[in-house]
Amino acid sequence: MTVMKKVLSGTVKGGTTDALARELDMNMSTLLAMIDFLASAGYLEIAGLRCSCQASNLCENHCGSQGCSQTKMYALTMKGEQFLSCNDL
Amino acid sequence: MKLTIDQRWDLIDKIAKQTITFGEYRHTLKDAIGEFTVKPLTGIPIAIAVMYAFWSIFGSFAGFFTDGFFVRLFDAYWLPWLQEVFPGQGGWLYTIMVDAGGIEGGEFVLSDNCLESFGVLTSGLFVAIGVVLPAIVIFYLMLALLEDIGYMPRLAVLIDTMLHKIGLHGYAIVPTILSLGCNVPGVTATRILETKKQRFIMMTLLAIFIPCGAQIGIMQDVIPGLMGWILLYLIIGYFIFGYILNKIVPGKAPEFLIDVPPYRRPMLSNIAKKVWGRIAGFFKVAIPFVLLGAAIVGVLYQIGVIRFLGDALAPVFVGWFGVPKETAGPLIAAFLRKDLAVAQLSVIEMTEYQMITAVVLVSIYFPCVATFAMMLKEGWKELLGAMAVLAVVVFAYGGLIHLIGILLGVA
Repeated sequence: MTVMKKVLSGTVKGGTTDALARELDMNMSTLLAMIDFLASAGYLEIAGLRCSCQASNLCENHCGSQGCSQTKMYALTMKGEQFLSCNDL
Repeated sequence: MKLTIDQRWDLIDKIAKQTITFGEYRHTLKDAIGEFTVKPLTGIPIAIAVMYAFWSIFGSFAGFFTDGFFVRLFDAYWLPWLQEVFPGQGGWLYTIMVDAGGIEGGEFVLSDNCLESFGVLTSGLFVAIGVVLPAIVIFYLMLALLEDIGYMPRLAVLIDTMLHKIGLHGYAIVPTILSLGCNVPGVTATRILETKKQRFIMMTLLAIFIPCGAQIGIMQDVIPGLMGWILLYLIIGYFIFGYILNKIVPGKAPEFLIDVPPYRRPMLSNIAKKVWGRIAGFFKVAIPFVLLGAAIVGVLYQIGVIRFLGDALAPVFVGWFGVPKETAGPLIAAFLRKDLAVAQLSVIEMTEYQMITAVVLVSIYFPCVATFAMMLKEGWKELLGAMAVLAVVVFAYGGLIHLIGILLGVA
């Protein structure tokens, strides 16, 4: 199985990027670069870009760029699913 | 030779492994805490400890200010003063605004505390300021701390597997916890969920099973010994009906790969702004509804509607739910304010188990009108669906709780 497929399969299982990097024995920076690429190429979608004071409409007003660290969430797209199933054949 | 995308990434990974050498990474305390709070083995006990501390501080703080200060202020000074200066004692306006009182030996007797007076300016103000305000301040303060430290995303990751069983994902903990403050921002926060199915399940569960801070505050004040049982019934209902909804509602509930931010030191100014913003938002919604609710309930009592409904619904209340027919009034009041309804229930004579059933019914039977309006804003189809589920849940779960009481010999 290729690294790209392993990362996409890891996304289907869910969990954190830290855990996935450990599981695949990858450098965290390589994994994050790969995830960025997969998102820009349409295999993954960024489902949530939220600051830690989640979902509050106060967030934008009160946290600003310095106040909130961001949590990114990635989900598999249709293209990602097709890529995985093609490689299964 | 031309490489495919995945072959390129394989090559990148191989080259990276062969060429990049990392020095020994030293774990900082922050990293260790980060790992401990995400791994289930250590994270779950930590989450339980955090939640226990959360509720202990909540109960102590709210109890200290309500019982130690506001009860005295309202019962010893505000109520007697209003009873004296408000004109027309015993008249309909007096009854609605100040004190519904009671009849003893054929004579009109004034109440001696704000919880039993049921006036707009007495019970209404006492519940809003004396009970809800301390509860909401401490709740939002601690929530803001947990958010700004960065604990919430970790709690979301930790609880992710469990929430997938009910068609949601870890971040559903955010609207759930927000709803424990007030259901209105909780319903708004369901927008963070990605699919229609998830938003519908979340909104329905919030409207039915999550008591708001105002209701929790008043429960803590008037029936502290029964709160654990009531919350247990609500949590069990949340998961049972979430599981059923996940099975019957069509749609997807995808998994996510989450990149969690590091822990950080909270900024006092951010916390202060957030707490202030939330409290101000809450009071803009709560104060008018508490006062309006108290007024409407007073009028309904005066014109005999509540007595009529109580009589009409008595077979259902007594036979199916196992609670006294007098609970009809508070249940109707609960549509306007659930905190007010719990205060009304606390003065009705019934057994402990009947009280647990009645308060659970107040929680699940209908969202308060502010939440109802917010749900309508999110979509009328979703609202109708949620109401249909709610009707089934009230009868099924209310009956089940009664049945459990009968089997245990306490109903």
